[in-house]
Amino acid sequence: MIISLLTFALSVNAPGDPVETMLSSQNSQGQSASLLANDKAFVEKRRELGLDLPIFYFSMASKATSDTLHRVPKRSHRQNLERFIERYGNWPEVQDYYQSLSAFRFAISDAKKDSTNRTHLINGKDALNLLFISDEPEKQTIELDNLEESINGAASLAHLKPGFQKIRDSYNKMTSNPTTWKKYVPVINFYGTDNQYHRWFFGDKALFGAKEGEYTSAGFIRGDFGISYQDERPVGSIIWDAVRWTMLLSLMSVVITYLVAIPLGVDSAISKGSKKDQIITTILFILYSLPSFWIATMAIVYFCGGDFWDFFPPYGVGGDVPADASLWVKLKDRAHHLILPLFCWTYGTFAYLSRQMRGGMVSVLNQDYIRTARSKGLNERTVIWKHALRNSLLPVITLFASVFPLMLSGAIVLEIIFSIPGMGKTMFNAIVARDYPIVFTVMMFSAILTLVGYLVSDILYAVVDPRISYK
Amino acid sequence: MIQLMPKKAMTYLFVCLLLFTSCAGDSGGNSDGKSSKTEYPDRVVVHNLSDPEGLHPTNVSDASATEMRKYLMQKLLSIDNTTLKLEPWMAAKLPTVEEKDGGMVITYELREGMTWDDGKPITPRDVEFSFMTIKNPKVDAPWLRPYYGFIKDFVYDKDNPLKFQLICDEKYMLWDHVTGNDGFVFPEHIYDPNGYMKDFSLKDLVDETGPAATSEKNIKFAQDYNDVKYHRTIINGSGPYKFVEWQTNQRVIFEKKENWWGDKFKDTGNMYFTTGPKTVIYETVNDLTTAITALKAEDLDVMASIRPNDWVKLPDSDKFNENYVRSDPPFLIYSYIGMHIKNPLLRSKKTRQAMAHLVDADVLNETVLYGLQYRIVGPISKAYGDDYNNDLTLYPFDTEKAKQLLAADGWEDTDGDGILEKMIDGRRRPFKITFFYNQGNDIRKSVGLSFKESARLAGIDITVSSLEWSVFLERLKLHQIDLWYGAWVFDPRPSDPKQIWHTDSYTSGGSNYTGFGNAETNALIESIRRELDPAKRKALYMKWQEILHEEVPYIFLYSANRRNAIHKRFTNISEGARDPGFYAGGFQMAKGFSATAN
Repeated sequence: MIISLLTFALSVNAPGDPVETMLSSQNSQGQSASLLANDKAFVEKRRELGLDLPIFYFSMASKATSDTLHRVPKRSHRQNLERFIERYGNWPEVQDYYQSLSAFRFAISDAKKDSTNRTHLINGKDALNLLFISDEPEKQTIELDNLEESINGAASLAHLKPGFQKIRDSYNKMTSNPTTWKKYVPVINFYGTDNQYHRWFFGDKALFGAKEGEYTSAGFIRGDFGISYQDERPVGSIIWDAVRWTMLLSLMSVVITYLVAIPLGVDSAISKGSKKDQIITTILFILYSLPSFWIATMAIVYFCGGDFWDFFPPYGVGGDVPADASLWVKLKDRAHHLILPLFCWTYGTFAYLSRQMRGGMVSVLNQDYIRTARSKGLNERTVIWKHALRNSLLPVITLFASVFPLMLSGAIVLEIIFSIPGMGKTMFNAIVARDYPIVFTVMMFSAILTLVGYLVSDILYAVVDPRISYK
Repeated sequence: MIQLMPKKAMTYLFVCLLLFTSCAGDSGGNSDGKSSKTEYPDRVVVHNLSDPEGLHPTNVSDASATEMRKYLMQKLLSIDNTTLKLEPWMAAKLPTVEEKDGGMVITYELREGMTWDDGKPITPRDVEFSFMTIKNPKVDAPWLRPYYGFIKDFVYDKDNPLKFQLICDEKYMLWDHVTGNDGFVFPEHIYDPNGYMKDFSLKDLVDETGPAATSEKNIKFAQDYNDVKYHRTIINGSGPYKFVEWQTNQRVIFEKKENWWGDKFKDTGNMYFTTGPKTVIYETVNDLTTAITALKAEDLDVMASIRPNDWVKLPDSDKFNENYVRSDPPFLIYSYIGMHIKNPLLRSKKTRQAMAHLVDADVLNETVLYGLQYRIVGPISKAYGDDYNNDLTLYPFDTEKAKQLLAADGWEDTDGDGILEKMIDGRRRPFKITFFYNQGNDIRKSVGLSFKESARLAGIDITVSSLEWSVFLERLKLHQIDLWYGAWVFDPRPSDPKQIWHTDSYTSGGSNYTGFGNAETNALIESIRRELDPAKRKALYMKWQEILHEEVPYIFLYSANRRNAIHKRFTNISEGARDPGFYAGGFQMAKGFSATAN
């Protein structure tokens, strides 16, 4: 729950406007009709995505601010209004000013162009644009004067004068009645359940008898993760497409890591300080310190049929086989594709895990009960694998907890290098495109899986060490 | 004894590994290929950097979607890759235009015998429906809508069922490109299966807030039409290939249609009627180093937009030379350093000219750009038509000249800190400015750093800084960036300067990031746009380029050729400036090569 709040807060404050990204309108002709249409498209898209709603159940603000500011569609305008509030502290007057500016914007873009007013219209529009995005009194005064000058410049623009007078009046009203004291009076606004957070997390679908089209989201906890801003596919299906590969790779990688690292760790603990221990340690640390993206690139260049050897396919997860191929052929194709990524995914963890194992084992091997076991005449193998191993597994189990969230997060760099359609890449693209529904969902699941990981490792503690119990 | 277990595990692993590697030889089917190999599967595999957003006929605009849909869907007119001339595609001949009441009447006639995949004939009503979707305010294609703004009515011919007219209320130089080559024509009965739009005509949708546009039926239509199914599963057009499968982030597969209607027009000279390999596969490979290796391994047949550093090294690879050729048709692109001329520091023309003298473009080209670019004086491509103004000369790199210009403009180092100052708007301002580029683009960073060095010699303090792409764009639109590196890629059509240079595009969040323009230049832009005669337009273009060269809102830097690699077994590449520089759907097997059955 706390994570959900945190993710949400981060997304709201991140730069970049998702609606802007989605519409990415070139807006090339800039005629008034299209200006209007574009504004409309913008507002409609915002409503469709629920971004025009208040962010949370309540907001804590000062008396000066507005409880309806979230309805202003353009982010840059919204930010400027916030600066006005900061400066003057009188929202009703700020709002009047903004409305008079917006009304004028449509009036001026509908004005008929002719040879006498061309220049004046251009200057007027420029000035108006700057009025929307600047808050300093100095700049505002200059641009207001510019605007006035340009509409006075041509007789054909006389009909705009009342509109301008409104701007002037509301501006003067705003600046002459500052109520900055209001900034220091805290106010809590309540919005009820019709807010962005509620809609995303709990949804606005009725519990019973909801009909198609009457709600926008069933909510995260009812399994509706929303639709992607990028291509409008359901987030659930996007994540499922990607997570299959990441999960497959991480699971295999974990199995291999544990299969290799535990015996290695045990082995070097037994022969602690010997030549063999040193060699294993050195090799593991060399592997550990080689960055996987570099190894991956090198492996592709040298082993994938470029100018050198051709052992592996350079990219992808396979699947380019005839649909009627046998299962064996299909499996072989997949495996062939996954060997290199799996190796790069895995080798770095050998050193870490086997060092943990070695450390645990070394301390256990010095315990009295090991000596007892040996003196009982048990063979060395039983002593190590039966008596010592279980007790030295604790640190390794702690590490196991982190495996679960890894299954979801993937490895961005490796996925890109090998073109694996996994989670790391999906998440990266989502972040770049401000595709918050995907980002939210992945973060939420990571949080849940981290908790699951801790739970599992706690249970495993109890399994390997009878001294630990949770009664 | 105790090591037995780990050893065993290791041995198993090793055996497994060996087993898989030994499979590599036969499963790939391409590793045995020495130069003797002449038989290949009947398909072409094209590299793709990332998946398209979707394959919707109107609601996507990214480059890979634009490229892929060319195999599946058609337009009234096509543009030839090499000549860049419009050619009839679904239309029987090029359209005609008449000026009427200050507007235009455009007449088209469709080819005879065109059918959709289910055998239904292609009629002018499908064209009207396709145009209607773009004009429809509820459809998610707002970037296309303004281009169609001048089309007010769609009139059927009483005598000829394949003929129709478009009534436009203003003149526009790109009339044929916009009406013939902007939007696809797609089947109404597939994209509106419920027949919501059946009773509406294009005229009904001219008023974006009118009764038709806001009607219940239209809202239902748009809901269905914008749905993701038309992006990824129901993809239907009259093109030579049909959509087979899309494996997310892996590949998109097309297959050649049998008994395609277009086969009878093979000899018309239009490149899009020649059909090639049975299967076209777009393989998504995100990493370019990986893609280059995959190319050498013959896993990819075609790769476009190769990085400059790879491009110059490719001929050193025997494997590459054995199987591929490099293809470098012209590219309709230019790069520039932009200046926000409403910034007080850059307000004066002389200052901007001085800045232009401070970019050592030729040396930069030789060093960081691998010598692959060529200089240009203005926004009009040398590769397209003959509208390029050859009389203008480049601003040479010349710090002395820059210093003179700056001094003449009133810049002076009064406090001896090595940085120039000038009184502007009653304030003494030092010449300090930040150069922005998009994060991760190292070439642009190098250009910025070099610019910084040379500007320092003239007393200008430039800071080089990067922004993440979407933030970079947002700030450009808000005019919070005063100096930046940018590039424009454009379509093979006469250049319409409005988007980048008209003052309307400055205030409305458009692409006029510089703040350039006044009534005079706007009037010139308008007259270029309204001139239907190319010869008369040329004179206007010449003047237009002169103004830009004199005013220097952009320091125009380079244009370049494309960098594509194509497998030797293919001929009929349709190499040309048209994006992406080839058309795989028309590839034929070269002499000495043959295609296997599968």
